[in-house]
Formats: sequence, structure tokens, C-alpha cells
Amino acid sequence: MSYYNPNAYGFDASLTENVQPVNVPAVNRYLSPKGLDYNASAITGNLGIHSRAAHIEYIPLVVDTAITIDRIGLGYLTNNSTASTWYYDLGLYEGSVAEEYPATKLADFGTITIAPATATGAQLITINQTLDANKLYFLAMGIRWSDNADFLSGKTPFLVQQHGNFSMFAKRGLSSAVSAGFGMAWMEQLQTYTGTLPSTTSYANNSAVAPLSPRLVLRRSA
Amino acid sequence: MTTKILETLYGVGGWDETKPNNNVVSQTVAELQADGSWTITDENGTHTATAEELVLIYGTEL
Repeated sequence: MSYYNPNAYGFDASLTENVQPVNVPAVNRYLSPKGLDYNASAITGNLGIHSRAAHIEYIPLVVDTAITIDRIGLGYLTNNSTASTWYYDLGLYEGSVAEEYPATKLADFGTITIAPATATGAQLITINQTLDANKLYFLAMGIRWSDNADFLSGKTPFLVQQHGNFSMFAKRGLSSAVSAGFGMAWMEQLQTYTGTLPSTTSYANNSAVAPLSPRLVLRRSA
Repeated sequence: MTTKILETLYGVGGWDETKPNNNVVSQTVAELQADGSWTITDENGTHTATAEELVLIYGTEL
């Protein structure tokens, strides 16, 4: 039975929405991390694209009930006249509660590839992964491309996105008066990521935060 | 016949250029009918949706 525990870690009230447990859905339905959705009816211009440089994003996820998931994926909406092939390497990390940052890789789920000819729609990978209740996980998404044509022209495929302005990130403080909002995801290996999600990491490796991030979905199987 | 792919499912490990069809194991396809509705066949069977429902349920731009 699902229940809501807003303070699963014993953190104080400043701990924010994106590390609160997600109420899990019924079997064969999907869940996604906390965030504000920009889906097919909302995307235009910069709301549909993600950060163009090669990098890794880590999105926090806590579920309120132990479940098994059998799909992970994202929503590919339109091509946006892209010419490059984009790769999205997906994985799962156990988080460090002390650092509020991913720590140890639990799984590599594989790669979703979006080439100019790829059919739009949901892009899903078959997986088999259990998630414990009230445990801090991070979904990982390593983004890279075949060539820099789209990067130089300011494009990425239009994906379903999530926006977040969570004080989990605000807690770290802004780096300058013109820094962007706090974020949906931690970013790592900015401009240097080549395709391997690291087996371990820590906040010392953090590059930046992403206020807008492709929305990853997970399907519950048990 | 006008068709629209709603979902592409990769096998374990995701996209793999060494496997047939790059490891795609199934696709959910909608077919446009003469009355303007779409017939969708997926793991739950065959059902009909309007164009508006396709956008709402599948997040698909037509």
C-alpha cells in the first residue's frame, strides 16, 4: 500500500520537493521524477531542447513503496530539424544522503539513440530493476552526439522535459548574480562526457545544474 | 495508409547497432481511419483514439 512520507530521511523542512517520495502508480503504469512537465502541448524553442554539450545529468528519485520496474525511457516529440545522431546513456545511482549527490552506480540500462530518421514517440528500454522505498536514487542520463552539427546550430531533438527550481540545489548557493535557476539535475563531465557513466562519483565532480532536463519515465512491473 | 509510431521498445541494453534492427523489439503503431480516428494496437489490445487523445495520451504531435 502506498503512503506518503514527507520526511523520509529525517531531514529538516528545508528539504524540498524533488527528494520527497513519489507515490508509485499501479503495475504497468509509469512514474517520473518530481518536476514541472513540458510535454507535447507545451514545447516550443528552448523549452523543448536540453543542454547541447556532451554531459551527464543526475535526477533525484525517491519512491514511497518498494517496486520493480521493467521499462525506462523518454518522450521524443519532434526532430527539430536536427542532423546529428544523439545518444542518451541511461543508468541508476545510489545517492549519498549526506552530499545529496549520486555516489555509486547500481546499473547501466543502455542507450537510447535518436537519429534524424528515428520515429518520434516514446523511446523505451527493457530493464529489470528493483527500487527500495524511501531511498535516495539518482537517474543518470549521459548525453552525447555523433558530430557537433546540431550543437553548433543550437539544436537538440525536442523531448518531453521537466523543469525544477528545487532548493536541494539552492542549498549549495548560486555561483553568481547571473546564474540560472537552481535545477532539475546535477550536471557532470560537461563538454567532456564520452559515453561511460562513472562507477562512483561525488559532489567534487559537479560541473553545474540543469534547470530543464529531459523527463525520464519508469514503468512499474511489480 | 497513414501510420504513426507511438512507442519504440528496445530490448535489454537499449540501442545496439550489432543486433538486428538495432535491438528494437516492438513498436506501437497508430493507423489513421477513414473517419479521422486512429486505431492503436498495443499490449492492451486494439483501441480507437481521436487525434486530440493521441496528443493527450501519447504526447504525440500529428
